[in-house]
Parts: sequence; C-alpha cells; structure tokens
Amino acid sequence: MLKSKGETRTITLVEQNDADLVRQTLCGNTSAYNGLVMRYQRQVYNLAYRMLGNAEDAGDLVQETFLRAYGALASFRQDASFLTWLYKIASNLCIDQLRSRKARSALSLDVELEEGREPAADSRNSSPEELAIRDSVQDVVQRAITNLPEKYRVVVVMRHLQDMSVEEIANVLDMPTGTVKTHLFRAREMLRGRLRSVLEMETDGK
Amino acid sequence: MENRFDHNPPEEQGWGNYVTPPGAPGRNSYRPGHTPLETALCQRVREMLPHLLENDGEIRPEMARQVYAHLSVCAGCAGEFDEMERVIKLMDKMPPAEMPQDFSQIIMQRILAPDGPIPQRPPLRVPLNLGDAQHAVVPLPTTTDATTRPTRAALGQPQFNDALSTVKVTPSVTAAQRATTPSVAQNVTQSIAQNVTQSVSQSVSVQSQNSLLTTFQRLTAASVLTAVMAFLMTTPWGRNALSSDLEALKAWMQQMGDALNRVPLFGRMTSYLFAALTQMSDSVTETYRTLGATAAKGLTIDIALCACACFFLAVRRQRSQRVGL
Repeated sequence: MLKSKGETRTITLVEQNDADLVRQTLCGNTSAYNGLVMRYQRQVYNLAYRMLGNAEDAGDLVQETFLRAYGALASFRQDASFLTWLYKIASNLCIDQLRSRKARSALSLDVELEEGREPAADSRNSSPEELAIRDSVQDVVQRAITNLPEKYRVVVVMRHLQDMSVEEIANVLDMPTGTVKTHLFRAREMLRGRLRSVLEMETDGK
Repeated sequence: MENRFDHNPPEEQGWGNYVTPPGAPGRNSYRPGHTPLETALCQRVREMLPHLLENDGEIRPEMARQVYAHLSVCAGCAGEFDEMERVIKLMDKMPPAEMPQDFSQIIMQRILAPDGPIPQRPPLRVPLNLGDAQHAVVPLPTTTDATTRPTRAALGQPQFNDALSTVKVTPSVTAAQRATTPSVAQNVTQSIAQNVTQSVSQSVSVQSQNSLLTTFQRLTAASVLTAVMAFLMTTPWGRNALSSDLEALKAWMQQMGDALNRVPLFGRMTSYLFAALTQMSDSVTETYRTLGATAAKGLTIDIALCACACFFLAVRRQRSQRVGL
C-alpha cells in the first residue's frame, strides 16, 4: 500500500509531456495550459523579439500567440511538436505584424512627403560605423537582422537564434527545405554586407 | 606554423588547370580588402561554401576536401569563407532575449476573462471501447469555473438545437397547415421536444466530465425523436394528422404552381419545381400510409433517418473544426 502511494507520488513529480497537458486543457483544466505557457513563453518571446526588434511588440505577440493557440487547441495534432505548432502561429503573427507595420510606415512616409517634410532618418540611413560606435555588437547584429526582408529574417532567426534545423524551419513555414536554404544563404549574404564594419573591427582588434 | 591545407596541392585534386593567384599563399594570410582574382573555379567554390558551412550533406566529403584545398591557396575565397563563418558565429553568440516579465499570469487572465477565447470543439471521435471513455482521444473542452467561462451547457445547447431543428423536419411541415388540422400531435411533439431540450441540458451540466457527451446527446435526441415518430405513425390519429397535412400541402403547392405559372419565364421554371414537389408529397403521403400499416417498418426507416441526421451533424461539426488556423 505504502509502495503504491510512493509510486503515485513519483508519477505526479515526473514532468508531464505536452500532449498530456494539451489533453488536460481540452478537458477544462486551465492550469494545465498555464504549464504549457510557462514552458514555452521564453522561446516564443525570443522569436518575437528577434523578429520585431522591440520588447513591447514581442510581449504583445507572446500573449496573442498563446491566446490563439488556446482557441485552436482542438486542431493541434497530438503527434506533432507543440513548440513547432506555437512557432507556426507566432511566425505567422510576426509576419502579419511586420507587413501591417510596413504598410503603416509607407502611409506615414507619403504623408510626410506630401507635407514637404524630410522623412525622419531611420537606423538604415546612419552609417554602420556610427552605429557600431554607439551600440554594442549585439545591437548592431540585431539591427542588421531587423532590417532584413521578413522572409529572410524569419529563417535566420529560427536557424541561428532559435537553433532550429532546416527541416524544422521548413515544417514550421510550410516551405520546401530547398527554399529555406536559399533564403538562409541569401539572408547571410545580406548580413555579411551589413555587418562588414563589425567584422573589420573584430579583425583590427585581433 | 604549418598550413594544414598545404599538403593538398590543387593540381592533384582534378580541379583543372588554373593559375594560383600571385601573392595568395593561403587562408591564414587573408587580408581584408584584398581583391581576389575571380576565376570560374572560385565561382564554383563560392557556390559551395554555404553548403559547406551548413554541413547539410549537399557536398560529398571528397568534394569538401577539394574545396578546402582550394581555400588553402586562394585568398579571395578563403576570405569569403572566413567572413561567412564569422557572421554565423556572431549570430550564434547572440544571447536569448531576456523577457521583461512573466507573461503567463496575463495570458491566463485573458483566457479566463469573459471575452477570452473560446476553445474550438475537438473533432468527434467515438472510442471503440466504451469502458475506456476516460481515455477518449480528444475530450470536449470544459470549464471548471461556471461564473467566468461559457459553461458546458452553454456550449452544448446550440448543438442540440441544431440537432433538433434538423431532425424536426416532419413536424415543421405540419406547422404550415396548423389552421386546417387538429394540432394535438404538434402539441405533443412540441412538449416532448421541450422536455428533451431540458433533460439534455440538465444531463449536459451533470455529466460535464464525460467526454462522450456529444455522442450521448445525439443518441438521446435520435431515440426520443424516433419514439415520437413511432408513436405518431402507430396511432390512427397521428397518421391522419400527418397525411391530412400532406394533402393540404399538396393542394397549396398546386395552387401556388398555378399562380406562378402566369408569370412568364419565372413561372415556367417554378411550375416545374412545384410539379416535382407535388409529386414528391404524393409519394410521401403514400409512403406514410403504407408504413402506417406496418409500424415496425416505419420504425426502422425512422431510425435510419435519425442516424443519417446525426451523422450529418457530426460531419458538419468536424468540418467546421478543421477551418481555422
């Protein structure tokens, strides 16, 4: 009897896997979903932050991702990885937000030009050297990533900052692996151009 | 220091005849700003560099050895490779972004808020072993907090109403002709339907832990409606009510058909339609009359009808769940 009690306790201590937590959430146990949020919010935040480039938007995106995921939990296939599924939702939301941001900035640029004002200088206009002096290397790299077109940005972030394999990325983005690789190589080429100042500084330092 | 690529002269590797750029002794002596002599070979090597870095299996080991051999003698390509490697290292060195706060509290609050997201229904899957109902494939979303969340009954109710409205087809046909017939049968069906709604919604709230609830709901609805239909068809006044209604409907359809026939073009089309409907009502009346004589047959057909309705509902529900994301 005592032994069986001990066993029960051991079982509860073992970390429940994602599929169990999803199942419990679907049964109405919302605290199980809290477990999923606690487990994966960091990864989703990292993706969102690297994609969007600022903490506030990243925080909103994390919340939105988990709310959407909760609403659509029934459509989650239990044999798939929950994190991959979350990444799928988060990356779609990121790309949507970046597009709407682009549309908004294009609109405001038009207004400024119409009103005869000089458009505000953004980080792209200042030289990499200036930026390198002003900020740390990490900031420069983050800015270089943030200035990539979104389709390249997402693969670079997933590959190098989220440590995902090309196959995983292809799965999340619903793309052939060949396309992911092409995007990845092009993105790295762009980054190489943009980070040349940092690379030269490093060489000089050495 | 000995260059580890030096013992691999490119000529031996079958890369064809090319001239080693003067003043390009190897990878280690790369200087930024050095302009490489672009050759077709360099072009080929550069195309391979990303694959080499990614180590994705696109380049065979012997080919990789040859590329490295080229890098040991071509400063331009070596420089490019070095830069690519360093860009990757720069990114890999990026630490994970620090979360300013724990979002789980906010997320759970938003989920539990009255206007929070309502989980989609999981697809209906009936486990073969009913005793194993606790481990049903995907159980229904339920909520523990009845005050803040949509209750199980609230989630289940519209679904049952769906079922009722679909299966109630026969009584609703009679509703159009209420004035002409004694509506005892309708009152009976309506009161039974209300009772069913109440009892099912009660069972919904009571059995909120049961994952097979939707199946039970549908089975209950099907059996109750079957009983109603069987009752109507086995009693003479029920049969009368049904058939006389259909007679009146047929007369009304003929009237409408005549009236619409006077309108050109539109009338022609609708008259065909009404003719077809009249024909159909004829056959339905006939069916009911014959079936009335043998109640067992009627019961069988009715069960089949109810099963069809339930199946249709289940399919529709599943299809609606696939939509989204």
